[in-house]
Amino acid sequence: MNGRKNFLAELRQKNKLLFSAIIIYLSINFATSIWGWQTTPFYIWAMYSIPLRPQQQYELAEVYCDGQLHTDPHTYNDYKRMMADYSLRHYLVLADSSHHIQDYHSFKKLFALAGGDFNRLIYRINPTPAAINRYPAWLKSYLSQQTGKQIGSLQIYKVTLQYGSDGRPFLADKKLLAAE
Amino acid sequence: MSTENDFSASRLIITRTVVLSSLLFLLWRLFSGILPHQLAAPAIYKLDYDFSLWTLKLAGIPDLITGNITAGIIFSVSLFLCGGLSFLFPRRRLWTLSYAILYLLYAITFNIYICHGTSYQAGFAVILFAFAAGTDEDFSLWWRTMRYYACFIYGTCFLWKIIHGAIWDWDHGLDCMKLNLAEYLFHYPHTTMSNIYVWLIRHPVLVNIGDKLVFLAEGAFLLGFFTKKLDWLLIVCAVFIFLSVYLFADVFFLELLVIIFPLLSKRNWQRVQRQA
Repeated sequence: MNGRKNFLAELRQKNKLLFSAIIIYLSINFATSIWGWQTTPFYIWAMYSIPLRPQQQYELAEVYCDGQLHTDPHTYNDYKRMMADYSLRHYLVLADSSHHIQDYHSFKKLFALAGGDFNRLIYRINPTPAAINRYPAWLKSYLSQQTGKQIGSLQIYKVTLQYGSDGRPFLADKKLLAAE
Repeated sequence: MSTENDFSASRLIITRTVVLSSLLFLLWRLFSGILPHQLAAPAIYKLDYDFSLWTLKLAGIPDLITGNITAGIIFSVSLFLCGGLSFLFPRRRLWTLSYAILYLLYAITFNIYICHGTSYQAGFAVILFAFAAGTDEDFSLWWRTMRYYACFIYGTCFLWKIIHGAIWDWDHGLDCMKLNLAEYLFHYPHTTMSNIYVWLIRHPVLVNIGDKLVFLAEGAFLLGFFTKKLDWLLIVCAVFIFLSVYLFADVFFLELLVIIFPLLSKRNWQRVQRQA
């Protein structure tokens, strides 16, 4: 404790700007993380910090480029996989007909207090339906560029898996979401 | 300032080591096709509640550097150029500060379009700012601050798991593993690793104990706020966390191991400097 106290006191004395920045960052970060919001960049403080509900089924996306499954088993190839993988997960959510744009309930109140029109802002902080529809075309173009091979056709499937008693997942459902 | 806290004499070697590491990761990202000019104007994005993501997106910068190929190439070239100049001239604030700002812009832009608040760049995006310190004495302060930042990253991860309840969820490890490895097990059911994973899923006690060990490794970083004597243990914990998520959660957080650098002592850096 002594070391930290000395450090913060020294920092306050020698670099007030850095000291203030740290205090402000920590205050915002702690206050909002208690609610489970991520308001500062780089760490999802809520990620894996809440209990996980045991799932019966697991949903994922499969992409076929010219009839071939686009996949890579190697974790060390994460950089090559991540842009498509992570955005596909969000696309699954956005493409779900029951999905509604994120409800920034508390921010709406803040905007109303400040006299701002939140409804005008909402599609500047969420993809529009047209942008969501454009996603398969973007993915085809991105993967063509990344792999260096022109992709003629691309299909996105929503796949539902279920774990069997042998500990292995099996296919429970497969549905075509989009084709380009 | 006590002598063990005075890193001013090691400023050049520290700056060059960290900047060179960040440049190597940027090169890896370039060859993997995930620099701004390679993102081909992404159609969708995700901002959640993050103020930094909102501010940057509303300012139009991410759209410009990912949507306009010329602007994107200028950005990526500037990123490498400033990084290279920071390596060559570690005391020139113009280059070190420019590099830190450009790297931060890239990291935030990347998180916007990947549609996920990833933590891969959480280390470099903050630690690079230490090299923009004006004087060597200021640099020492900044560098020591980064040591606390390293402790803060994993220390708070542990605290949130207590506050939000994951640590009390016995099957957290099993559920986490099944969630992250479902795709791999489905597509590659007969590899050696698949057989190991399936065996572990059928013996969840080991997975759940391993999960709690990772939590404890995160919690060990809280010790870093009280003493520097256990920094070697924190380095071991950082590597252990990386290997655990690499092997059992299919995530490659190698970039985040940059937090090891601020945990190295002045003596460690002097040794590196002598050998360089």
